[in-house]
Amino acid sequence: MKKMFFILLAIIFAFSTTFFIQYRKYNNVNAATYSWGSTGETVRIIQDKLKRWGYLNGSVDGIFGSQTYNAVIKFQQKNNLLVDGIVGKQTLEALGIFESSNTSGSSNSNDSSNHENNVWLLASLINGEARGESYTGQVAVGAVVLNRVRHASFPNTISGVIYQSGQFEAVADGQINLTPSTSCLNAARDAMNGWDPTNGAIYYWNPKTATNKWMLSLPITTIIGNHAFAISA
Amino acid sequence: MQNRFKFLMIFLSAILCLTFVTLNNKSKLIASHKQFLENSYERSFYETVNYLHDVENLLSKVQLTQLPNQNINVFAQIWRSASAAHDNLSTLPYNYQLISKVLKYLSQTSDFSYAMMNKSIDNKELTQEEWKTLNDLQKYAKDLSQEMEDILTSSNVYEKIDWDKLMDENLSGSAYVLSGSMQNVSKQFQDYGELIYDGPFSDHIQNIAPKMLEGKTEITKSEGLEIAKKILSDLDIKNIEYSGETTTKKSMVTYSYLAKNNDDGQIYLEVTKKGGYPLLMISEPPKNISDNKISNYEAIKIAKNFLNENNFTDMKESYYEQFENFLTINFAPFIENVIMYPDLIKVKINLATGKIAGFETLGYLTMHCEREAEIPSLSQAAALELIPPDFEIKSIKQCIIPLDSKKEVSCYEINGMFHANEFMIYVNTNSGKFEKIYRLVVNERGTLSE
Repeated sequence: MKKMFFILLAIIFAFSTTFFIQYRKYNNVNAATYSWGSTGETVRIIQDKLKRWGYLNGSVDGIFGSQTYNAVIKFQQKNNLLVDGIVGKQTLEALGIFESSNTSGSSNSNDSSNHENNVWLLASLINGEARGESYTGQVAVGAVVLNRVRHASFPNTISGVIYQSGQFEAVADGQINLTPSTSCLNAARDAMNGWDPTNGAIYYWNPKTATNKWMLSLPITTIIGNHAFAISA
Repeated sequence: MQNRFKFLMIFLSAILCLTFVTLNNKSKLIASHKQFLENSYERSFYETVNYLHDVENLLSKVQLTQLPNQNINVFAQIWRSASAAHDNLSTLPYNYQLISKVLKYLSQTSDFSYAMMNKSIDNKELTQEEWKTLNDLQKYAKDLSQEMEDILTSSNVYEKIDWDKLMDENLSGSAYVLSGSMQNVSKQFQDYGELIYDGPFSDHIQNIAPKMLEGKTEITKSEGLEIAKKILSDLDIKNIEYSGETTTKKSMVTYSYLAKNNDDGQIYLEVTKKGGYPLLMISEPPKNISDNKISNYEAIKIAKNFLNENNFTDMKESYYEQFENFLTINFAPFIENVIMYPDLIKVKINLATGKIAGFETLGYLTMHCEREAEIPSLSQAAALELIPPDFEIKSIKQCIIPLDSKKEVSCYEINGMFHANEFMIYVNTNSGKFEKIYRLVVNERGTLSE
């Protein structure tokens, strides 16, 4: 009995630790400062901004060197910040870069995660419907969802289209709840960025397995992998 | 022996009891889930009927108004009610074919009212044609609302709606109509035609003919193949072949080609039949993520070179997004210091190899043309006066942006910081109207707009 209790305790402990680690991971990406010698993606973003706004003459290479230093000094002078050539929290904010979750006003990360949530939902549908298809076939299924969002005869949101009753088999049988593959996540992202190999289709079906007579009567406008695509009768 | 038998009997009856209890609980659970589902359908149905009633009521009222300031709030209410009716109806388990026209009608009624509201806000009067459209929309609303109220009444008085049955309603014209069926409604909407106005759900949006393809001659499949080969010449391609034709848009038929790169990854390419323009390229991402070897800045340069080589000149980068090994960059023409945002091209670069991983030129092929230079009646300084004083201005540029209706307007793009967020404000260069406001999302993935 005692042993059981300890095992249980260990399991609970393990769970909460992983949860905590995950939580930390999502909420506090990086609250560091950037100065001479710093490298990485954030430095690149800083340089990119400075370049776009005309402070930086050098290249955007992700390395905080003398040119970046001078540009930061210029930026700080112009924006009444502490002129130290170090990109800390205030300078980052003035540049419009938000990394830490501790600032209550950083609603930017919300926007970003809302976008990511929609990518995830679309990827889940693609995964449920077309994980066996080629990459192009996966992008195509994602594109059909987005074409429906823009079409008057369908719901006007991604979730509305995906969960519309009787529309997707993967939603009806719960396969949408599987974790999407990397390929499907990439495909969802491409579809959301505007890639549409169907050129505007709003229906698709598998000619080998489809039984819906009405759908089978639609003129096929393109075939990608196992799916036929159509726009309307 | 006897003891053993007794034990077995007790054991078996215990199992039986347990099974019975479990099954009973299960069926209770199923019944309660079913009830829950039915309740939510009933609720959506009632809401749909109520909102439809409002739409009809408001559409009749709005026709009484004469001046823009009399109808703004009525249009706002129609916009909301029609949209709510659309949302509720679309959650019901009807066969899509039955309700698609009704959904279209509701999207367009909502969207049209929104467009009319904006027109009134700009203090413009509605045209004769627009009043006629409203009158037509009201006629449909009247029939629809009446029919739906009848369905609801009869489901209350005679036969409750069986949503399970409705879900697989047989449409092959059986004489018996299920309770709650929208077959009759569907018939009334058979003749619901096209509606053209300034909005995203207007029928003209689906039928925009690509400007770049106008008057261009058609190429053959094999000419297309040569174009495809040329586009992919920087990549190590093993084989490439014609794979089919896409006719979804009558005005833009394309040839597609499939190629394999040296990792056996598939590359898909579409070339327009008219004019032989590259429309789209998709390449299968590699199975494993590798280290990025080039910077975003270098990637943008590679993308720009690629565009130049393929005769998309004067392109300037705007937003970009990085995901794992890929950078997706938005480009728009920058001509005589004006950015042409409707003519969008997206290029995807593999940061590990520094090669092109995809592109998409639909916006460019659809909208690009010689535009007459717009001379702003509002000066830059006057536009900046319109921005709140605590908005920290970083840059101002002239540009052309597409509205949701695809209509183009000339704007000043004012970039800056406000309350610790970065924004882009698009101020109409003539009226000073804020046509669009984007909040930029800048993170380690790049810059996105919302």
